[in-house]
Amino acid sequence: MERLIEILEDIQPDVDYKNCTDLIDGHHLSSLSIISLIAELEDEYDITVPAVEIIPDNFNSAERIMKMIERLQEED
Amino acid sequence: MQLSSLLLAGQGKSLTSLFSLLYLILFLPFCLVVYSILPKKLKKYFLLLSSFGFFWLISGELVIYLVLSIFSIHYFGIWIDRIGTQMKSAIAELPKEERKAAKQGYIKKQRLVVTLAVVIHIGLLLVLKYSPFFTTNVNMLFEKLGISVKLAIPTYLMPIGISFFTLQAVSYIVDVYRGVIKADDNIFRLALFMSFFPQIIEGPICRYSQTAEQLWNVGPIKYENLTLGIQRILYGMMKKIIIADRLNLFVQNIFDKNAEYEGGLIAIGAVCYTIQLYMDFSGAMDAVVGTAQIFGVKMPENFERPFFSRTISEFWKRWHISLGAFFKDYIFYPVTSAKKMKKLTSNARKKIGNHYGPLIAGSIALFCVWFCNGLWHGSAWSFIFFGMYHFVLILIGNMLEPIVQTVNKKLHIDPQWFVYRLMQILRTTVLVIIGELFFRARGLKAGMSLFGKMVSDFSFTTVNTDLLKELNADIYDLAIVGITLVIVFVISLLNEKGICVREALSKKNIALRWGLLYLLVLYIIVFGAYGLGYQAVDPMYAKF
Amino acid sequence: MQTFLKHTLKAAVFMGGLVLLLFLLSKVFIPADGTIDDGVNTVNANSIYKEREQSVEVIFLGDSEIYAAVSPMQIWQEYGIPTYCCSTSAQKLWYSEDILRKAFKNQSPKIVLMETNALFRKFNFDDSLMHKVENVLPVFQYHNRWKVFADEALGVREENNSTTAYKGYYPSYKIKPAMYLSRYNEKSDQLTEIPNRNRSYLKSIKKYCEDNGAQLILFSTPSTVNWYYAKHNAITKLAKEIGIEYLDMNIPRDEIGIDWSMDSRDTGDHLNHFGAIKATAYIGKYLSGKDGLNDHRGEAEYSDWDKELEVYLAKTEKGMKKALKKYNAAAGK
Repeated sequence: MERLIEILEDIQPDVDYKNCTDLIDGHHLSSLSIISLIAELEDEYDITVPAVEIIPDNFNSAERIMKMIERLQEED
Repeated sequence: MQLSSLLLAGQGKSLTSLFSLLYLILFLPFCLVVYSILPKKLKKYFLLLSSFGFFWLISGELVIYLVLSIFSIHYFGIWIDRIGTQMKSAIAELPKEERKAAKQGYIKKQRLVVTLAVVIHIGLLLVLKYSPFFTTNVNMLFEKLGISVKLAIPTYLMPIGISFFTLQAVSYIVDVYRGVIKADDNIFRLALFMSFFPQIIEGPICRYSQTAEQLWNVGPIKYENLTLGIQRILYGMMKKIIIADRLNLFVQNIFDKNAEYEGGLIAIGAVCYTIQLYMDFSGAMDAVVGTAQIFGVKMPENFERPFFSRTISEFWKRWHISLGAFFKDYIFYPVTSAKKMKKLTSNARKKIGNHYGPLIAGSIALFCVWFCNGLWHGSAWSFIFFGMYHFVLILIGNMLEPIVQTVNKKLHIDPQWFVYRLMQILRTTVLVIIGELFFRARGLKAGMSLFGKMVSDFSFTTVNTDLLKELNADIYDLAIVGITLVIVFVISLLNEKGICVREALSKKNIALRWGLLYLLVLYIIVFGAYGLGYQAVDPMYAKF
Repeated sequence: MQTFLKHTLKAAVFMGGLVLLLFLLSKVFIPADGTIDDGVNTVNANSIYKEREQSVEVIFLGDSEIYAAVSPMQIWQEYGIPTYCCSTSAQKLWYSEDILRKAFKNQSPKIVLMETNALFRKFNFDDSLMHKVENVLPVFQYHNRWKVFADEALGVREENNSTTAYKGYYPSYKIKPAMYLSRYNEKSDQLTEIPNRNRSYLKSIKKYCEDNGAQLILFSTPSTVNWYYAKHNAITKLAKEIGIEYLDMNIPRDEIGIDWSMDSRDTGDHLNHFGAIKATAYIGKYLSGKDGLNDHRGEAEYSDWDKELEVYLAKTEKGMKKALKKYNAAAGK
């Protein structure tokens, strides 16, 4: 989890990733940041994030992102 | 007399506008009455029937396109699902090591099926909508190259709403492929999702997961929904009949009469057209959402007060939302998620940093999105230009963002500062209006010359009451448009602050509520731009 | 069930209240019977109410093509036949019929000349529906009179006298050359479709005219935008079918002599005053050959027409002079 927050802060600082629950709906993460994030996540966690997973529900909070990562790791 | 005309095929073209009398005092009330009498089990079937009746009255035999689309996606959906089931049972028997390879084969097959389905649907749309444009340009090319071959320019009758329901069909089939939804084995449910009458003409473009279940589970009409829905329709009607239709004559004069107006007037024309388009389209959406609400169905919103946007990219998240979301989910992310693109992003990030790294892949995807967006609006170079215009604006915005941030920090400008935000909103609005100028102009050439005139001759020397008369308007028209715009602005501002005016009012006493409602109806009837001297204006997005 | 009844009752009361309000509003908005004060867009056409009873012998029916092309005062000047333009912009046939009935209230014209452009103007189900609603609740027809009320409230209402000298004609002195002549010149065997609703309205108008002792004649005014051969063919065929005379002014082009570089006010759609003079001369000559129409010049009863003619000539000559001056100045530049 901490590693994830680090990644997020690296990509786009100035957001309280620990508590924010509307990263997408609140327009905190831009679509470019998401592209960046996905590339980074794939490298870091050795997963593939298909386009279908890119929905607000999966990216609205750090916790949700982590859940998605775990799920994708299992599926692989 | 043909049989088809006896059956009223295409005899109700005025239904295209949800503000037509035919819709408001005959079709909708008739539907509501029958709907409330029928037992719950039959209500959904009646909705389906009235939706096809609606389509039939507008487009007649062309309803076949809709029917075929429904059958097609129903079949393809089940096919994809079946491959999925086969895969599961097949790999369950295999040892773990061999599973992955076996899985790939099935996934490949699924991909083939979904590609076929998308190609068929988009292909049909392309043929119907773009073949005249395509052949005209090929002919021109031949002429330039000195080849004396001339292709016949085909023309097809387009069924109403095909640009909209084709996208719904594609989103359904792709969602099934992606596993977001299960293929629907009930063709009636799928048909209702595809054809629900208020949304068939101008959208919103809904996802299966957004409306299909809701539509299939409709129940008795709730009084509260009825009143709120009617209020929403009336609000949209005010926007359309009083503002958009009143501006229409004026806008037509500026853009269609080939007259030489000075630049200032062209600018005013562009502003008026932008207002007209917004009021027309968002007003129609109010009627769609309002009608759906009466039946207890919550439609996704297509507008979120776009003229409060601070950047162009924000504007497109708040204007025609369902189209933007479609392009984002089915073009932007798939393009950036392609393996090569991901690699590009990873590498670029390491070399040129977090901001510019994803920009390369992002821009390629963005280009695809805006090319499609432009083309979707119509088969003409001016629409492609319109798409490219916004692409370039968003691209510039992305490129400059870090620089702007640094400059702001150096100058100690708080981006949340009221004045700064206002300047951003103003800038965005001006850029949008320039885009709409090209969007409205009759062709790219006309757009260029209007824009050139606007920039080179920006003055207001001829603006006076004589000119108003020439443009078929008077001071009262301006006044009533102004007053109504203020009303819409105040309501939008309240919405922006999270206050829903309709709900707030529903808590007030009956005298006030009824009084206001009567006032709104009479306001529309007296000040509406209809009747002698006005042309009824078809919904502007119905032609896209 | 009880709440359902309660809600239905509530809705019924609300609708009842609304209809009552609209009814009351209609009383406010409907203009006094037989006055010219009828709507905002139709003042010119309705000024026929100001004419002395049984004085007008010919009326022109149709859309803006007419009030731009036919000047009754010129016909009076040249042939002494009292005529009137009952035309409104973008006129649809149901309104033609309405206005015809209005005209026959105080007048007994012998000839009704109806312009053909309106025959192609589609009006859909909504228009006829609206027409029915208008008959019950006139506020829907006269709602635009809020502008008249606003004028009155602000004290800037002008008495509408100026129109009488023009007899429904609306002169324009603007000169904008026609732009697209190719379609206007291209001969064709095709037939433009005339909507069924319009055919039946035409028949009903014809019957009304005959019942009231008038002859209905179709005619097309010169327009490069609204006229082409396919329309001519369609009207010729229709006129033959139901037995109406048809006069197409786009055919004897040399005789009428419209100069499309000078005679249009809006790039070939409508005529300006210069074009109207030529078109009117032709119509006047055509009418003078008709039986039952008389030269009333110099008659005591028509002395006001002679007086108005002076006003008319003074006004139009001034307008033309100014227009030509502007035109020549622009050409010199």
